[in-house]
Amino acid sequence: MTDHPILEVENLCTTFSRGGTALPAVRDVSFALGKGQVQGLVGESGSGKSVTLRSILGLARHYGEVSGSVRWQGQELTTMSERQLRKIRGREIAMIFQEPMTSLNPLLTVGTQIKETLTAHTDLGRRARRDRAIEMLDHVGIPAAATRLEEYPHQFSGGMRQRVMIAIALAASPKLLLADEPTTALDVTIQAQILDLILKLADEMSMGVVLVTHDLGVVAQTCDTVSVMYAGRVVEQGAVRQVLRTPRHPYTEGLMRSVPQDVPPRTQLYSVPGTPPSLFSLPEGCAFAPRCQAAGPACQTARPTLQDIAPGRQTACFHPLPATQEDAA
Amino acid sequence: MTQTVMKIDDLHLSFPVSRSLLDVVQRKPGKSVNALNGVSLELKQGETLGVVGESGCGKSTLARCIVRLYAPTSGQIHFEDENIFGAAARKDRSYNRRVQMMFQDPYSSLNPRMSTGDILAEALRVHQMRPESEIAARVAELLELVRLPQDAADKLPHEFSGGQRQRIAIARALAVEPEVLIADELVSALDVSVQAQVVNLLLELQDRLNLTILFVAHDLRLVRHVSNRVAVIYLGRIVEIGDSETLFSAPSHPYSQALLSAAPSLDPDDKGAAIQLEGELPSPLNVPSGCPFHVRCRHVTAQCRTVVPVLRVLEGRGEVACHLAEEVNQHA
Amino acid sequence: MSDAAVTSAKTSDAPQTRVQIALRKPGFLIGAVIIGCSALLALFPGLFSPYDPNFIDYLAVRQPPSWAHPFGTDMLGRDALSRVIHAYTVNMQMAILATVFALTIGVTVGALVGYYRGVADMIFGRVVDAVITFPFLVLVIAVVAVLGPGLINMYIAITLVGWVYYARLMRAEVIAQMGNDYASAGIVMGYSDRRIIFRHLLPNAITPVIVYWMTDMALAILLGSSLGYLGLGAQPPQAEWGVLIAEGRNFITTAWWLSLMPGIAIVITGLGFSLIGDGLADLLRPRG
Repeated sequence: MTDHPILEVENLCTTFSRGGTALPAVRDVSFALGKGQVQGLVGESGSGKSVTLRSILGLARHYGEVSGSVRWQGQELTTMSERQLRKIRGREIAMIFQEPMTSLNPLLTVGTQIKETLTAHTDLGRRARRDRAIEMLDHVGIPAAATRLEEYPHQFSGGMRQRVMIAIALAASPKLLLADEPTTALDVTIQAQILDLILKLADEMSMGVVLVTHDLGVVAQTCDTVSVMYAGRVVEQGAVRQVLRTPRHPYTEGLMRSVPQDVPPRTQLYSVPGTPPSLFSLPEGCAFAPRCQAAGPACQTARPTLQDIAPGRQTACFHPLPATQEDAA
Repeated sequence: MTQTVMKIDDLHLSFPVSRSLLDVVQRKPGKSVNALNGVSLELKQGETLGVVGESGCGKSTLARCIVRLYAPTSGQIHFEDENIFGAAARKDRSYNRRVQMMFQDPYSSLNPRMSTGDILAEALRVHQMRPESEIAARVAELLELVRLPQDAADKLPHEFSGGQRQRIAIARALAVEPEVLIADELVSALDVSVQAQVVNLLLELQDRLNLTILFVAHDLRLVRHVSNRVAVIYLGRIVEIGDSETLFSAPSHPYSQALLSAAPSLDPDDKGAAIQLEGELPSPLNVPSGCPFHVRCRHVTAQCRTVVPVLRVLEGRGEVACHLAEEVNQHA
Repeated sequence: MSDAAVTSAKTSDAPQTRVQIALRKPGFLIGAVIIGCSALLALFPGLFSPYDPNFIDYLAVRQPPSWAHPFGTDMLGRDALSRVIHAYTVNMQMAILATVFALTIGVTVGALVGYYRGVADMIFGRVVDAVITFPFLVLVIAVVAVLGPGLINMYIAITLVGWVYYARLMRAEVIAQMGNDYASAGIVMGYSDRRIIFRHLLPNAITPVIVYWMTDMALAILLGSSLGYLGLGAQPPQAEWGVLIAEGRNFITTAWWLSLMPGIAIVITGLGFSLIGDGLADLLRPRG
């Protein structure tokens, strides 16, 4: 972690209200991101990882209540007005989404959409905008950029559309990229290309990335640090190598062991019993307790908070798994 | 493991693409999507055959052909020596009982207006699996089999989670006591922790009921875990087929190699080994001439551009459709 | 992603039944009250009408509204309120008889061509094109002109034209439902086509058709009274709103109430059906 994080998220909470009930979609999420770092948010559907990402950029405001603090280069984003936020969105912080099909406007050419971003966030002239658009398409690996500028999104394949999305997002050279499952809709060979591209560009532009994914393999291959989320809360976070090698929270361990890697074929896989809880009826104590084998009486009644267990390493569990030597080293 | 239950022979399937008026006026020939370009397979008693490939490669089309949701343009499928597309076989509903399919999307594969009990009872009644008096008991038995609580019978599909719905789909397939199960991306829509539960259930039921399974999926780790043999499909053709462990530990076709190395490893230090593939899957509207993979292959030669390679046995490996299989694997 | 989890959780934990939810919507409630009252008036007009609708009183012709005759009297001295109330029977009957056969035929044909497609679907497409290029009213008038005026012939004419609209809607909905794997699952299970069409696809596809049906009932009343007004539908002295408006037409400057009151009855009933249609859309949508 660098001395001066560019993004600091502290006790971020997002609450939705549905039919009079307050739903705790995100609770007490805190993490910090240094320049050029890649932070992963991993969890299953409904864990609050996407809502966390949307809360950072003030998108969750429209359908929920956000509290806590998001500091972006010293500025507080949660209390910032929509007008001020608009200046930051796209220019300093950009976002890409899971569905490259629906995130592009089907009625406008790809070039128009890139130039639109440039008009909004830069002082470039007409000519310069076009050059920059070609440069961006070229940069994200789209061949024949000048001609493809005049084409419409439907003329691009899924992987190419995601590249276009990235070109649009990065056109104004932002300092932070929020990526919401950017490769989930893509095939593995294309996924590898896109992840490589994101990492390469992040490195070149010394841009921070917050990557939301459900795929632990993607986390292992791309992130520096990771936060594992369950039922709206971070249950474990730290450096990727440590978290994935020696998970200390039983849920992280369960996730890791559910993936059939290095297990004898056709044997029973380790599986976490049960299903994630509904936000409407969260357990009183630890949300994972009903599915946890290590759960004791305390877990049923009290909720564990995130505690430092090693430098830069936190877990929220009353009965964390033992640390190994590698972890201590 | 020796007896062949199903034999798929040179299966072709193309879907015509509707022509625009302009195309008709300009006398352009009608295009068609070539989903399957000569797939041949044998499914052996009691085995799990994994089928992997990227989206649009034809793996789901193949699955749907096997259960007669699609009729092939040419080629045949024999189930116990009977052509399932023959005139007599088409009228025979018993094939539909003996070969069952489970679908990817647990939210659309169950009728939203029927309770679990009704869904299972309907399958039992239509195929007269049990006399009317025993149906309720059998429904309870099936719920037990897939580990759903007994009160599930009275609930509607929307009251269940994705994993539970897939259990219902499995129970529906098993209700008619099939011999072959076609699992099309059975767990792809589920969360990781729930995937493991459903895969475990499938493996356990296979042993208990002596089922033959065709496991279609894009998740290579899962396919490796459940399969005895694996077929890799690219643009409607099998490019490699063989024993699962051999294929996964030493893939022979350049495409299999790229596909396997693209799957992100869980080990953060296991980086950089990925073979980067150039470009993307060509459109099945115009499959490249020669080897369909040649436009993305780094070993490509002149021969690859013109001659379609056929599946042939590679010593110590499975069957591979590559002109350069020997050379490619020497380097590896 | 989490949004999906939230909404699915919402439906399963919602405490009220659907009917309760629907009734909380003011629109649906008002619609239900209007149609409920209309049905009562249609079934038991004698209970609510103060006079015999056909009792002629030459001493009291074209009287303006008063306590004794709230809607006034017509050119034959008949009580206008009683005639409007008695017209409920035939006008509500129109709403049902002019639509229910078209609904049945349309749903069946639409489901079949949507499921089987092929040549039948292409022929159906041409029929639809042919029918919808003509204005509905013109076609119906043409058919009535051939068959002769009268209520029965009017129902036949409306059914002959109207089923196409139901079938078109049903066909589109069945094709959309075919995209769901439960239909494929039915085929794979070896279920008969009849079972898949009528037991699986139809219950899931019919919601928009039912909603359209409600609107169509309002349109049927409008169409029926238009034909009555033109002398092609119900025949005088039958009390029917279109006939009543036509009777009052000659006195529109001196006895405006004769045409206005049945007109208001048409508007209110039509509104009732439309409001119910909107509410039904929510009520019938499957959960999940």
